[in-house]
Amino acid sequence: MNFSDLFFLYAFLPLCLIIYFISPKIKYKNTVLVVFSLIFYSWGDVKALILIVLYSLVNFALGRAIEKGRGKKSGKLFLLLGLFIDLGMLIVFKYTGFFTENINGLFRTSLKVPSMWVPLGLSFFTFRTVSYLLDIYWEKTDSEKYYPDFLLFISLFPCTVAGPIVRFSSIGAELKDRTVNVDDMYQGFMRLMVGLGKKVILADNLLAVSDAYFGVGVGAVSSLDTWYAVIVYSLYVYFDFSGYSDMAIGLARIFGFHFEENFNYPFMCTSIAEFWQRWHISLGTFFRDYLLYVPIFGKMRRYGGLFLVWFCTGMWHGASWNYIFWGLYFGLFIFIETLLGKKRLKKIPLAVKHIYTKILLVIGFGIFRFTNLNDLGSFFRNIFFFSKAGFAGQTLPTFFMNNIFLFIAGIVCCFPIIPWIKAKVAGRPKLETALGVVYSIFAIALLVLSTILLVNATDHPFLYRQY
Amino acid sequence: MKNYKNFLKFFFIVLVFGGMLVTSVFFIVAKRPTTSESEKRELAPKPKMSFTSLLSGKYFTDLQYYYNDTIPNREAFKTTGASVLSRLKGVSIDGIVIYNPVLVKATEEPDDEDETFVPRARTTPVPPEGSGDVPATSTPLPTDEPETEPPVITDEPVNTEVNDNTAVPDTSEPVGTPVPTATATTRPTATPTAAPAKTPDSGGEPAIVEYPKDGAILYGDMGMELYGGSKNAMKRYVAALEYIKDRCPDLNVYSMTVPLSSMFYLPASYKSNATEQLNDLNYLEGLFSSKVTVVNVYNTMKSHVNEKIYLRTDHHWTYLGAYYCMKEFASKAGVPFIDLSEYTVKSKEGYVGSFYSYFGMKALIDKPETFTYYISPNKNVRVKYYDASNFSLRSDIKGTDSTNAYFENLKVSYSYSIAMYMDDVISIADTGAGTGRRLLIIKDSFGNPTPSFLFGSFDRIVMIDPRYYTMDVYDLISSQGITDVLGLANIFDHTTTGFVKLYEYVAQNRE
Repeated sequence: MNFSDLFFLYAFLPLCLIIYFISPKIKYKNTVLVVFSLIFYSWGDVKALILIVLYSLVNFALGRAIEKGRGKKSGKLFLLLGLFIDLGMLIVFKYTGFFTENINGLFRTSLKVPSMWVPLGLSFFTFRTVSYLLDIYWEKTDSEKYYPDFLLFISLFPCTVAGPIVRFSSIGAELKDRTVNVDDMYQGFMRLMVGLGKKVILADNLLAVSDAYFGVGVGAVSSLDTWYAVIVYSLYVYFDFSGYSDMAIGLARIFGFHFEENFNYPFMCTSIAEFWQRWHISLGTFFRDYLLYVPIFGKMRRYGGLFLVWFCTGMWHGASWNYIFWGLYFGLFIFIETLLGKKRLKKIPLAVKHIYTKILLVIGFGIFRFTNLNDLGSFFRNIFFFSKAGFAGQTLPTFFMNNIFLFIAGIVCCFPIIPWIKAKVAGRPKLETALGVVYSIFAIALLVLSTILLVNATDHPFLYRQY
Repeated sequence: MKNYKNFLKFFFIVLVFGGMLVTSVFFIVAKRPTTSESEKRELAPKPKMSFTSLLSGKYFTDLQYYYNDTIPNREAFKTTGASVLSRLKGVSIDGIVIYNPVLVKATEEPDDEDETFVPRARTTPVPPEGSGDVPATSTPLPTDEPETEPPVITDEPVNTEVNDNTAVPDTSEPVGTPVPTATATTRPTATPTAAPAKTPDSGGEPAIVEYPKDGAILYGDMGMELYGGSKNAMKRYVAALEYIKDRCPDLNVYSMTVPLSSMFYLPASYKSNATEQLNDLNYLEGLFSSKVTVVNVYNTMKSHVNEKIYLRTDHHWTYLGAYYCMKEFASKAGVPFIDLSEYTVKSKEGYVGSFYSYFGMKALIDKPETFTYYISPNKNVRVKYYDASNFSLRSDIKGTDSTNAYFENLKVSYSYSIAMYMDDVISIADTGAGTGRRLLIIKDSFGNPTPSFLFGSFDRIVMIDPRYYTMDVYDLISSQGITDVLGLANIFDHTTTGFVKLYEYVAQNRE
């Protein structure tokens, strides 16, 4: 199940909210959330239910054992065991096929490439448990003592399937005690509807435009068309993923959880490093906190750690070489920016920095798009104006105009317009209220329009569900 | 002020959540549709609960699918959604909306590669290059015939007075020796349908076959494909057809390349595409030596451009367009031809073709057209259909009259297949015309209705589609006593390698 689904919006969610809010105590509320979360997670795939329950049991026990063994050898051993189990499961389920294919390619063997079942949201909940175990070991947090609450942490449906990577340290307290006031509900519904609009109105239609080109085969697309399509694709990825994050944060807020932001207008960045401080923030901070300074590179720790992080970032996104290239591509430019230093970067005119980052980002999303390396080669040929299909396609001007409002809306929504307007009217209560009313009506309109568009719409699973 | 703000927020929550609840109740209580008129399909059925389906989780996914697929007032939602979306996305220029911006031409090899047709040994048949993973042939369907039963292919003139079971087999073996199945990723020259899952009589709907899409535009209420072809492919097509002539010097070989509707009806801003199409048509004609007679139908179609010679909601020509071109062909071939005035004219209302169902031009659903078809006055015709991959008789294909040439009971959206059925069969029509001529048509889907206009012109008409035909064409020519061969397709398929490679495959397999 996903959030941009009529069944979710008009059957699952209302039922869940009603039962949740008529439940009198936090214990019952949590029980309701656990039950609905498990239903959500295992919808149509009952073995996922068994997996997540077992997985949570193992990590619950390990967390307790690590806490008890703090400062002792046993604590370290349990930590290593936990990392081995969690990361091992991630590797086995997600990367076995990839490794086998590469072994076959490298050594000319003919090992059977297994077709593995990949549990939904595996990469996300694996990282949540890894952070949980490490935080306990490093004494940043205590272990959860009550298993049902831990199961809720692992399975909480707003963030199970596609993040954000919520840490136990940030919501552990709210598992025990939380209140929901009018503002929480209001903000939650607003985020939910805005996120839904981003996904259904913008992302799905941007994808259709991009696929009209790349779906045919990138080799057949002219250079200018490729640029247009990959810009549109970049916007699609942003609205798809940030839309999902908005819905996750909004849903959590309705239930009284306060998740940290996962996106902060990433296309406003003026450097690649800044982009990654604004894009999928929960993943970036995870790698920063748990991997960047892993002492395995000796004196080259700083740069070694940097490339390790970007290798893993790429690998995390998918079991395919293009994702690894994609990660290292960003790693390379962050490395260059690091070498240049902040002072030199500051001296570069702002416009140049914007152009530089946007071009690199769009090319990066192209690398992200093409899992087939031949297609990736064609993509690079096209964007450097060596397309076999020529400079510009005959239909581009008309097609561009056919989708001009969508394109403009995509670009405009990358800017922090709402925060900017809010800042402008801050301190003027009447204007603030008026803005609130207008924004609320706008959000309701998004819900209505999204609902209409969802009727019989092709199911577009969230992009990030595959990770 | 704070209280006022909180009140507004509370009001908003009540409004949103209340709205969601009311909608939820409406979705649950209101009557759910079971069919979609616009999509011409049955909607998802309500799943039945069973221990197995519960355990596997299938019940839940089916329930979700059912819920989403059968939303009450679905058609109204869809119409509103499509209308709003088309306005929100952008504007049309000169009334043009592009549906597929990439032209097929772009997928072609560069012309300067000069890949030419080279006959290859039959012992090592090579499927078309770049054939990818998509099998062109449909999965052979079970027939009512025992596997061991020889195909009923007659070399004798048809007995026009008795039913079609009297056809006398002239061989105990299939006329064509099966060769490896060709594969293709050609454009959808076919009606975007494949072999029917059920017989037409039972109202079965053919499965949809996915092909790469061509550039397509909606101009006003008419869909059109944009043209793009390669000279290299043209050379290869010419070589392949001339090779058939070389192999069978006694045959009369013809080529007919049918222009797309875009050649005549494009708006001014896209006229260059029509010009390119005409230039390529002329270039193609110039490539043929005297071995092959070219039937140039550009002027034929142009002279009837004010009549309905192309479908508006489908990428094919109309039967009327096919009639005019067959008339031109009959003239070139020197055979008699039945005038249109002798045909029984019939029509079906509410036709919406491939531009809606395949190319995604949703706006066309509100602008259906009338599909007109023509029943030949020759009632002595008997048509049989054979599996294109093994020549077993497809006795499950039953027409609406004794000729077995017409399928008037097909649902209106399949009207293009009324005459002579679909692409994935070998059709053999015995006409009793008494001209002493026998025609083999090697065609794409534009050829489908053409035999029905030649029932007074050739004694026997055999029709094969290179996308599905997997046997030896020279065996077929000799066993059927073919005197004339017509290569017929729309201009796309004679100028792009996807289809031309299949032509080559048919032509070379006897080497």
